[in-house]
Amino acid sequence: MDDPRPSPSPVDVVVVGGGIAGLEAALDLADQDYAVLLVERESSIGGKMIALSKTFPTLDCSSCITTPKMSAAFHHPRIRILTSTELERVEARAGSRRVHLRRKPTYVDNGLCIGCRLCEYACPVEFPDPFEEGLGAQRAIAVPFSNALPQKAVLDARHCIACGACVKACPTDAIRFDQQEERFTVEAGAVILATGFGLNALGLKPEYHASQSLNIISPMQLERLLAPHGPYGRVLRPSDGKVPGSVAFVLCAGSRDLSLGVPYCSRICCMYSIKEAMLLSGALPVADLTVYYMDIRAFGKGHEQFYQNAKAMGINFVKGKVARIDPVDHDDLSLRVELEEEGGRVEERRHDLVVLAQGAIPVLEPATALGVPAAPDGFLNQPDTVRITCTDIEGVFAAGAALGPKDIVDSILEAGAAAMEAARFLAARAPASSAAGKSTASPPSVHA
Amino acid sequence: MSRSSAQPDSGPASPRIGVYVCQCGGNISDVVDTATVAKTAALIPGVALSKVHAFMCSEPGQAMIAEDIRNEHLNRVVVASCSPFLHELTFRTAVHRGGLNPYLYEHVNIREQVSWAHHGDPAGATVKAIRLVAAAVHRLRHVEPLEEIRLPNHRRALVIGGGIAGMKAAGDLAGKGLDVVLVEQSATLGGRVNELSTLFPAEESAAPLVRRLNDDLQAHPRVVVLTETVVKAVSGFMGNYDVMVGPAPAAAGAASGADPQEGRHLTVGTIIVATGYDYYRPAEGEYGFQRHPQVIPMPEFITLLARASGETLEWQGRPVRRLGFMHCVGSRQIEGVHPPQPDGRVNDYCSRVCCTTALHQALAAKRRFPRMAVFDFHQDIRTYGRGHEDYYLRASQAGIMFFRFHGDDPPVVEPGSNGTPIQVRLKDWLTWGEEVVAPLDLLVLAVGMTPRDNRGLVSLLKLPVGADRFLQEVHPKLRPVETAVNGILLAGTAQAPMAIDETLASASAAAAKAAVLLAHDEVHLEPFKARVDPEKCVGCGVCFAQCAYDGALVREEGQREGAPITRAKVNPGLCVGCGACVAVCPTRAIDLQGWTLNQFEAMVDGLLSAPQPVAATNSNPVSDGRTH
Amino acid sequence: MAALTEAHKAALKRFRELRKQKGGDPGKAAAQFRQERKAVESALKRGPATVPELARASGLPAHKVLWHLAGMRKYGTAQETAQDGDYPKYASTLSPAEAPAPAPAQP
Repeated sequence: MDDPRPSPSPVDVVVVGGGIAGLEAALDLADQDYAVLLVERESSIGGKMIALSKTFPTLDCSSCITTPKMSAAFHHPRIRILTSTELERVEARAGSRRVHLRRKPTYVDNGLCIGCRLCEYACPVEFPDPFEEGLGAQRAIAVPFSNALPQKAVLDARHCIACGACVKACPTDAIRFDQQEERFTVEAGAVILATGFGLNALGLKPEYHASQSLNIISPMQLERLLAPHGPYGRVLRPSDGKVPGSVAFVLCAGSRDLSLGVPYCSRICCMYSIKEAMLLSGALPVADLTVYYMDIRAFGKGHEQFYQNAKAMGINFVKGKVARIDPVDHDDLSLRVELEEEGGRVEERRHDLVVLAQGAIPVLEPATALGVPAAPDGFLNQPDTVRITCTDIEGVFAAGAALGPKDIVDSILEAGAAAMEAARFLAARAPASSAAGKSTASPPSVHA
Repeated sequence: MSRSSAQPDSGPASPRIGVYVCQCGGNISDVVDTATVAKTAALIPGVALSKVHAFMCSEPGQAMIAEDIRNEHLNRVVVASCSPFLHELTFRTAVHRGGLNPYLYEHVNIREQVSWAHHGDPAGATVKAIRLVAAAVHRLRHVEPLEEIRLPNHRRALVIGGGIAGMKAAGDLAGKGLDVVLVEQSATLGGRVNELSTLFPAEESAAPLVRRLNDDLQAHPRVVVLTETVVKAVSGFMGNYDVMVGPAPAAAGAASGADPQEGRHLTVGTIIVATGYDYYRPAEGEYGFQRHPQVIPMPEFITLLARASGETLEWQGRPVRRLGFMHCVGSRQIEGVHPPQPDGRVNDYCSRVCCTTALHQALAAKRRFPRMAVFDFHQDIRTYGRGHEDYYLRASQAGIMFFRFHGDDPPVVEPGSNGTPIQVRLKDWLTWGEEVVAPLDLLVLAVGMTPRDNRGLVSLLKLPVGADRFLQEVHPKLRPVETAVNGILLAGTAQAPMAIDETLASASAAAAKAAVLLAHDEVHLEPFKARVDPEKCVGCGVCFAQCAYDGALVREEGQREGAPITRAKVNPGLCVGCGACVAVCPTRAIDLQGWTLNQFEAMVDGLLSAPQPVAATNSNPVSDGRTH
Repeated sequence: MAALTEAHKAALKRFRELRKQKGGDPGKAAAQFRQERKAVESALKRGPATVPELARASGLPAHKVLWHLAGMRKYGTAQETAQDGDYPKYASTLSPAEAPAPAPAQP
């Protein structure tokens, strides 16, 4: 079990990315009896969604929706999951897809680790926790977060001082300081890329001075502040632990801007900002909440009604361009706003905390991963208008934000679509006896 | 965590019940004192242990339950958490993982029914949670292991609606090697897309798109396409739907006498509903509609522009030099501002595609007739999709003039005073609410989407409909293409407004779910069905009159004390477990498997005998079940 | 608690050497972490306090104090108690024996 390499037999489908789209695609295929290998570059599946507090427009807690799918995939007899594993490239040739993967060392034997966290308690080093967007602390060896799957410790080699305390504490002798990176190749009938999206830098607009104030935060940071297990257990501003009395959301802070190289709409920011403002109004009932926007794009099912509810709750929506943000005294921030509905009048407005809606950008480089050029927006190209989840490579499909920014509902639908296209592709290539889509590959054996 | 030793035999199976109280990351524990609930639950007879976790549905929570079943020899499990609708199945699976029959499980809803309903009364909420847990514990003492009902699965799908969603779903299923029947009420496939010319964002023509979908259907012998056909009757259940299809009303009128297709029966395992949308039809006078012939809905304009020839666009013999587009017609409506629809509600939803459609058409018009002045009246420009924002950019560069109105103060269309037949008067919020008048030769209403009127089908299939009148999915993220009726799926704009690429994705997602349902030769149904004790049944027949589900109760001839008797027998496939027959049976011969009258009585006992709260020492911190 | 075997020690040594080759040395950061953490712990010894108060007492920037408190909350050595105006107060959960002695108050 400590051998991270899959068995030499080919799998039907390799799904790259264990976020909500990848999980959905893997489950849709495995439930049709295909053997699926799901690879995730982080140390837990769950993607961005598992880090969110609640989701729009139903305000369901995000964990409550994500964990059942994580768990279902994790325990599915036909899904094998490899975490801490990165896609290097997909090589397609004459009817086969060879998926080249790289498993990063976690310095822990997952077959032996029982997730007891004794190593974590023994570890003397803490560093800014990436899961908490840097706001919380993480030990150099730790189970990544409370809902992580697998529940296995992971050692961070950049912060570990190699003191050996974890080795002494481990009841199963699972820690392997000699673990090495491994490269391996999997033969797959089809590949689904569900690699998600990244976010452009908070400091992209120099006039917003994000690097000069800890109180200019990212939406993901606010998600963690709002989450029940969040770093502070409540919403405080990072500079000094003050309960914010006035919070501003600046929309389109990294999108719809040619000068930033992101001319497109990031599609999710309006709705998550409205949701975060709503959650803040619950967490901070007296706080003044303002959303500065260009257009409110509440286009999905139930979204417009959600937006109208937010307005009725007293959240201020101001159509205006935020020209600059300056740190001022008491760690506060001053926003210079061009009020579009008042003839472009410029006003200075003061807030405790500012959330910048970053642009959603690609993480996968199609040229490196597939050897094909990206679409003009940098995401994977969609060459087929009928089979929208097809990529430029035969047998390689994509879903979710790998095809451009997308909310959870749309990502899930697209993941189902990619699973369907992959199933069709496999069925067309399968011998007649298995035309109904029965897997020809042996079922995967162990979980990582 | 608190424990009590196993109680002496207090029920049929010497119960060792585990009680698990979820905090739902504060959703519950911010109101309900979950530690107190757990501590108090331990006092209820039969409870072997009780625990709290921040997210019981997470893997550590589930694993804890499974491990306790093995290590602590639990034989019944209660989880007090959110609605069973969300996670009953999750925990049944966890219980099964622990090696226990999954039906030896009871789900208590202390979120929707307790913490959310009583957030102003934490003490009262805590007492209520304890009572509900006590009821569950008492019921479990009478619960027996159950098995899923396994019935043959007819591995064939019915797709209702031959627009692009239905075509795509049917093509996908056939491509996967499954049998599909596609019924379409009109004579042609392609639906509304046939009315479109060039499609955004790929700028390809609509006709080839429909043709490709059609070629896909033709390529597969497994697809049967029935045009001019509608669904006449439906019975059965997932895996075993019996559907009668027949000629569509218009086609039936044209047919002379006996139609060979009349009453054709199909047996299918799953049904995909892809009935599509209609355009919103503005009321008379809404933005001047039907008062001014120069006000037309978008579909009419698309046709007009597609057929335009010559140097100028003409409408009713007059050149169109000034063209306007009005957004949000029939969408984002506000109660009190817009007239209600026939059902009394306004269309408060966004129709998603009209912004990009309007800009797409505005640009197309401007490109075709460069000297035409084009005006755009909007609230927000929602060009959200891949490639959509480009139309907005290009529209601005092309000199299209934008005006912004507020939804509660919509623009007014009136006769023109400056030589044009009409003009639009509005407060423009791009120029600080200044009143603006735009003289126009033609105003195009970017009408929104409304669900296709499919009331007949909705009642035949018992489909849930949302407040927006679109068909309702079970859950937008957990089960986005499934309806509350097992085996009936949604594809495309019958569910919500969607663009073409989104419609195709939704159709394929529905096809994937259908392929999952059709993957095996058997379907598994929940065991919660009526059960007749033939010893007690006296053949009075009262139950038959109460049963609302055709075929769920069947008559069976037998003998009782030497005399012939007609007893009731349950068809588990058709029985929905509603319990109407149970209530009327004078001899208590019928009971509901898994929800027996004894169990209900035990629950009432539990509610009444629940212990008083025993305050936990460590009040209520959000816990992840970890120890340090 | 198990003692380190020769194999463990060899693996640790190789791990350190390998990392050194790559130019990584987290030792300094770890030492700074321990020093700061001690400062926050000793500042807390004087009783519940807000982040700005702890910053003054420890000589650390307020944001660092907050970050340390987040870590201490997570690992159970600090907790939120009351609130003073816009600032929550934090208290140590360490017994006096476990916590470092309070540093002299900053002028």
